[in-house]
Amino acid sequence: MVSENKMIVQSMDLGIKTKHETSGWMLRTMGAIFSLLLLIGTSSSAFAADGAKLFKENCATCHKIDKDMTGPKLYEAEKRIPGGRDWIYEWVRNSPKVISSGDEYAKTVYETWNKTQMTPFPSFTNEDIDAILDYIDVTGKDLINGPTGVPTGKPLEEDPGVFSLWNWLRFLILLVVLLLGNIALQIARLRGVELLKGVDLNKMNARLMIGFLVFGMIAALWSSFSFSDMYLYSEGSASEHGMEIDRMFWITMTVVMIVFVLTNILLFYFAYKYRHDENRKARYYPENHKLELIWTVVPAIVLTVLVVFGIKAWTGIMAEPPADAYEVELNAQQFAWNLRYPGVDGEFGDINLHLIDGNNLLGVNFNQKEGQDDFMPNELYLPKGKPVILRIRSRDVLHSVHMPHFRVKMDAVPGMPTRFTLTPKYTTQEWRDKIGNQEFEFELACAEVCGRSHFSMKKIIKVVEEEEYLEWVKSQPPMFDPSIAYKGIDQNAASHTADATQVNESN
Amino acid sequence: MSDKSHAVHLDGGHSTEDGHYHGKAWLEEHGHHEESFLTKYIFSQDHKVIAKQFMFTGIAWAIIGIIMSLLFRLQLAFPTTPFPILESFLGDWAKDGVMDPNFYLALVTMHGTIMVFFLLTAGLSGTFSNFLIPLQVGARDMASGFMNMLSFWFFAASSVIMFISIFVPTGPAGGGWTVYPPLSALEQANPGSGIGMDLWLSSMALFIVSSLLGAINYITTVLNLRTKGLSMTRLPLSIWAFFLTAIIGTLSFPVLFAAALLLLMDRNLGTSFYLSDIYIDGQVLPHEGGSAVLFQHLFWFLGHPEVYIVLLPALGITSEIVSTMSRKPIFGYRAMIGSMLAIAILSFIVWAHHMFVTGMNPFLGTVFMLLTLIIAVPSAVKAFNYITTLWQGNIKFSPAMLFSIGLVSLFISGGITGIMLGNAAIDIPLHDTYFVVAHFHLVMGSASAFGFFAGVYHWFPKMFGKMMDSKLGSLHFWITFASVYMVFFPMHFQGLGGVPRRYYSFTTFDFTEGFIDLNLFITAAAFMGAVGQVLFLYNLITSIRKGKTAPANPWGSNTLEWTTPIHPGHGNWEGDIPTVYRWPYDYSKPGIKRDYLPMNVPDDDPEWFEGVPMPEAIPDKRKTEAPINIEIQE
Repeated sequence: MVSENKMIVQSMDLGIKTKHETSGWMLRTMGAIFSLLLLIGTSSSAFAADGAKLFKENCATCHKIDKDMTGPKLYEAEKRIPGGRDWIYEWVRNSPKVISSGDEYAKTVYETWNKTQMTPFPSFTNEDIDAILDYIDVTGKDLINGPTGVPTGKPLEEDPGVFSLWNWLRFLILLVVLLLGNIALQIARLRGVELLKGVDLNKMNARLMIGFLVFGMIAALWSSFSFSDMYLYSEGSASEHGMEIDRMFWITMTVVMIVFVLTNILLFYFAYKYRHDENRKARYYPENHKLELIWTVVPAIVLTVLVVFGIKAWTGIMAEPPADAYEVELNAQQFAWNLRYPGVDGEFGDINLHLIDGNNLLGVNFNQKEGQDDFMPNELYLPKGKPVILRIRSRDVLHSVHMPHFRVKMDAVPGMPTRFTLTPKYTTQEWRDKIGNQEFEFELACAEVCGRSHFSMKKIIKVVEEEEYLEWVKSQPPMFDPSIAYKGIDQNAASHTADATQVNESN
Repeated sequence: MSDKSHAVHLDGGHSTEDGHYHGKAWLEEHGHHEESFLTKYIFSQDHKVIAKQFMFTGIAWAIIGIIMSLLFRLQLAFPTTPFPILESFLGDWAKDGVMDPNFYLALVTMHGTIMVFFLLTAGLSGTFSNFLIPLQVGARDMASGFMNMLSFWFFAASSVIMFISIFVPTGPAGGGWTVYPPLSALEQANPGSGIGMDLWLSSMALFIVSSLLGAINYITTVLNLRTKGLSMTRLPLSIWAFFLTAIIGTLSFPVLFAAALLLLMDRNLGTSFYLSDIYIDGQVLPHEGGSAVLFQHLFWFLGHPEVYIVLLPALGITSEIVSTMSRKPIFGYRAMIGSMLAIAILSFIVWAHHMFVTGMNPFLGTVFMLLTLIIAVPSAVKAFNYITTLWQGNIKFSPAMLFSIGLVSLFISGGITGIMLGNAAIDIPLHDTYFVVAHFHLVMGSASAFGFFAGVYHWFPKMFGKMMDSKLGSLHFWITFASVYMVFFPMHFQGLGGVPRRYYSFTTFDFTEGFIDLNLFITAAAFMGAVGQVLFLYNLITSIRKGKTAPANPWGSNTLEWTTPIHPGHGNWEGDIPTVYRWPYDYSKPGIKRDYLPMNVPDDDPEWFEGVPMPEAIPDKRKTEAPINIEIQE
């Protein structure tokens, strides 16, 4: 075990040897990683904002520039691909189609990468893809050859919070390392020298109880407050129902903090105060029914109150959605969220997994009129101030819709569509102004482990005013294209509308 | 057994029938023949040897579990930095020194499985239920020594299979320790769901068999083999805890067995218990009509009681130690039993609080919220009773006592956040985030591990006849205690920031990115904690080999195990089994010459009681009364 640990600790050093002139290997390591992070941070800001942004929001969940991840590394991808840039355009917009077209290279890629389909980005234009490729090209050169001397756009001071935190961390880590070294040394010496010789162990432990209480309490409270600007709850909720959750959260948190502080103080203080003394005898005090009754009844009352409010809030959040609510479908797969809107008619076409092919990515029944105007955008648009029903599906394993700023979470269960209703309270722009960060985007993540890229199932959420939302809905191109022969769809019937039974028959 | 003898028996007396079991015949049958190395140490039926087997296997698993956690903590702290040395250990799992995301998931999964089942269930209950039940109830051995031996060997077989699964080419199970299907059912979805998952399920099936064999034995022994005078209301709280734990296990583990069996069938026989409407790997699967949520109900029907299977023994051990080392009776003995009973019952009807946002009927959410928050009441009572036991005590800080106090602190700090998570509305944003990770690592993970440490330190003298080094033990405690808080307390912050669990890297999202620095701190603390465990191992091994010889009753304890010889043989007591005259918590009782009064001291013993005349002066009433003792007098 000792050698095992040492190896791992040493390995921190091996990874990144640099010429930094700080003393101590850990500091050196920290310094190196810090500069590496800075380097990555700074170089990215020097390029076309579009490409960088598009890359970060869409590609980075599965691809790295200089390394393979869920998908292959993207640096110099064009040189590897026989079809060149045109092939890339096709592939990015609809990779299943390229695969089903019998393209040899596409098949190889699909096989090599565990038959994981790349999420299609049908709304990307050639220019978008060019911008991403440019960004990859320049950034990749930096990553592989070191910085090219492009002026850094992001000076150190721009992120003082992280920087000062880093200083603290370096200090703490140094302390930890010293402590570890010391322990190892003590163990080595232990054979000959009696550790803590001449120390009154009982007294020492009693004092440490008080020391731990004081130091620990201060550290716990200080750190809780100093990290508070990173809590979702400090910014408030971006949805209506979230306000109520937050209110209850803070009330419960207050109760919990009071109990935490008081009981821990009593515990450690009693431990210290009543430490062993030869001349004292402990008090024979086996029970006190009144006291026991008090601390059974008081928590019971407090909890009853919390339960009553909790049930009320929960029932409200889970209530039937109003009839005029908008609807969006979040259709999860490994490892992407496919978004589907019901189009101008406000009705979804049914989904039948047997209809999935290169052209019909979700298996929408285009025989139904309702399905023909459904569309699949890249970003989750929500109207401000209107209830929206998220219709949640999965087609492979469990996923979970996690929209932290909106206090939304609901599992995506294959075979059992679920739903969650929310009303956004701020537009993205209003939220940016509120928190003072113009770069901010609402994010959608996956919260139920779903496989290797669970950590990167990302979508951007845009909240806009209702008028803008309706405009946007109108402007989106439908998925259905009458000129394409879809699997299991009767072309003639489709153009006139039919019902779902025909699809089932055709299977 | 006649009605009469049965009635006597419930009062703690011996009937002639089981007098045989306790007495001379038992010793002649079991104790007096020469035992080979194989029957004495490997296929032993002696509960004390089996306890040690569980303990050492548990510790071995803990080492593996800790190393796994260090590996994934390394990944979390340095998400973008390659560590070439990892490649030499892990090969393809860390190409160019970068950990594969699937391997990360496998590590997290195996860490959970190992710690929950192999360390904190088998390692904790297996060790201390086995070791303490016969010793503290005054029995020669478990009701069935043979079943007890089988229990260990099923656990050993289960361990071997789980260990092998770590080395299969597609990797061990990787869908989280809760192995939710369809991820765990479909090889196409995750390489860990290949042969690794079949091994996981087989291993768990054997584990459940082991656990049931053990639990039935514990229950029988506690109910039937208590010595004379030891009524249920005089039982040490440790025994109550082990007893209730065994009942919970007996009633809940079979449900997991069923769940695992159905999952195995879905995986290998084409059934559709949990699978429906799945399109993967370019095709629609033939499975129809199953429910992924069904598995979660079955899993958590065990999974939640499992939390108490893990925690109750630790609380029982703590009750013993806090009282003994405070030199005070445990405060509210009956309330402690009552709250454990309440917890045991409630633990069966709160499982769906793990499932508030799975899409189950919201009405179920309200019911389970209510039941979940009720369970906080008995838990609060226990915490307050521990604190009151310390009040006006005369506390000796043995390492066991330190770990017990630490346990109470962790139990409180981790438990109170359960009030937030148990509230379905507040749970929506917190569910499956690091807040949950922080909560259960404090309240059941670390607290139960502290119970394990406390137990080892406290009963080491009885196990090995030697003393452990208290100074090293203290150092071990303070390092472990500090690092547990340093690791898990900051995880609350990440949870409040919305960071989901089981994320390979925090780099993808803006709302997670800010916590990468904090991860570095947590990882450093985790390494510190791991190094601290070296002190424990060192202390354990050197003390077994050359520790100071233990006195008969090193902690001045009242319970029966300390009335055995320093190195008790198979059968525990050389002569009569002691008779019990009172509850185990008469510490610092007025009118007693010492600050403790063992359970087996007769009420008129002048050695212990002040103002009792010397024995010559009064006739020995007990002799004329005692009808039964047929035990040998050597």
